[in-house]
Amino acid sequence: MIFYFAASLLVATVLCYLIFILKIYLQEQAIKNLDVETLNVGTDAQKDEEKIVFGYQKKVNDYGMLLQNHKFASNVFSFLEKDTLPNVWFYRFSMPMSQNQIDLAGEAETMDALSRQTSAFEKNEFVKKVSILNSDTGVLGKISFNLSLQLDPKIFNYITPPPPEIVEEETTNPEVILEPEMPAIDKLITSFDLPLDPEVVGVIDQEKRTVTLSVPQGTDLSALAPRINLSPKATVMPVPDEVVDFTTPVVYTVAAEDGSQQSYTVTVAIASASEQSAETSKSKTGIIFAIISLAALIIAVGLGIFFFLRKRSKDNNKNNVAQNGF
Amino acid sequence: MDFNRPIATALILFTIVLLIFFLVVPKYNQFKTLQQTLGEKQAAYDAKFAYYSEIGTIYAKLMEKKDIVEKIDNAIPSELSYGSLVYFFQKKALENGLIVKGLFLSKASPINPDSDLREIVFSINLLGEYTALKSFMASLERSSRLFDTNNISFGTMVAPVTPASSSSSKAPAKSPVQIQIIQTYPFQLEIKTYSY
Repeated sequence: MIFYFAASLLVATVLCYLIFILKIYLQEQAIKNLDVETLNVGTDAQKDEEKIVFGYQKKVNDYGMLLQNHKFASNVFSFLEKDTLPNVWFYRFSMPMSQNQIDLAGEAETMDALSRQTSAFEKNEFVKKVSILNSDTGVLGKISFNLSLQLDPKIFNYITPPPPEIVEEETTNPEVILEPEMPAIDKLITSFDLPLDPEVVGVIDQEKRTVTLSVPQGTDLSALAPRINLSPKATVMPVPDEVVDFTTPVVYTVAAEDGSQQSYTVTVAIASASEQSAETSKSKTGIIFAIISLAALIIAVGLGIFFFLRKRSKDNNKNNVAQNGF
Repeated sequence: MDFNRPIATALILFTIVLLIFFLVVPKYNQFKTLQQTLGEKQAAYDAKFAYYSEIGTIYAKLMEKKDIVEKIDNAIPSELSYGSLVYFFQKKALENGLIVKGLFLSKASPINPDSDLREIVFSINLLGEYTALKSFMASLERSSRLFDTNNISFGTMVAPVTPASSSSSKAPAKSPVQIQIIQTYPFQLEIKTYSY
């Protein structure tokens, strides 16, 4: 009896091995199919939209960078008009913007006018330094001079109201009309990503002030370092790239340049679909194992009984033959 | 066929153990690993699906703000057109009472080696009054296209006429900067704009 049971168990073991080979083959096929499907996710239209979105993201970043460095050169004219005395004239003007400097050549009625003019420039909040390169008294008693003004770069940020005759309604650039000296009030999280493989992009709800992310199964939620992009000049706590425990929702507080704040609740969860699929496959494995074990047991017991009965009938036949003398 | 059944049973059991350890268990482990890989791939697939869905949402929001998008497009055009730039400078100069004496492209190169954003620098020689230059500068600064000024210079070799001697001029008798009421000047401007 034990022998037949053992033999049946051997058959069941081999069967089990073959079933695993089959299952592995099927899983490999499923992975291959999923790889192909993953590559094909996204229609051509969606991929075009992706290009456009990222193109504009880059453009907006570039535009922001250029605006930060943008200078309003014409502000200098208003400054000169305001601070030039009536008895002083300029006949040469040069302004290399990279040096924040104005070189002027002019004529003053008297030396006193020149000194008052220099003093007026020195008192101006936008003038850091005034240098008189030279001055010379002419034949008519007028003073020719060369001045060099070192300007505070802030002068190029300030914008004066435009003269009425040059207002262009159709081409007005609203970004230009903004007052750059005002502290920025924007305090938005514009992107929130987890640098995993593949990268996980957070879904930001600007109305509810929430960020939700779905990470693959097996990701350690207790140590994630998100990449965060904010409105210009805004700051955030915890700081970007800092390792944070996301096992529970985390509150990120964004502060604008003007000091105002707003909070975002960031929730990171294991991808529900993957969790489901993992659970499903786990329960499937359990069922398969139960079936295989049951099948192996039934086969083993069945074969054992079959061989035992067969042997018993053979023994009976032998006994009958011995008793009947055949 | 006669054989020793206890020994055969022992051999079979031993074989079973060997089979389990060397064949079944490794296959089981491989099966589990593949199962995990499958879960991860499924998660990656779902994440990619969600990603494109999010891209679609962002795209829709972007299209809702088309006016702002167009302004950014105008500020930094995707394609560089020298012709339209030259036309723009000439048009604006004329509108503001300036004569374009010369217009030269002095530089067209990326703002840094890693960027595809290019800066295009034009040197412009203009002739006109000081007020016309101011209007021209304001036109550039208020244009939907982004212009930066690298350099402004103007002047004359002739000393200016004083207000007293220029009383016959059509310009106002008193002005904050006397340079503007006297005569036309040659202006040299270096203007920078951007394009991809």
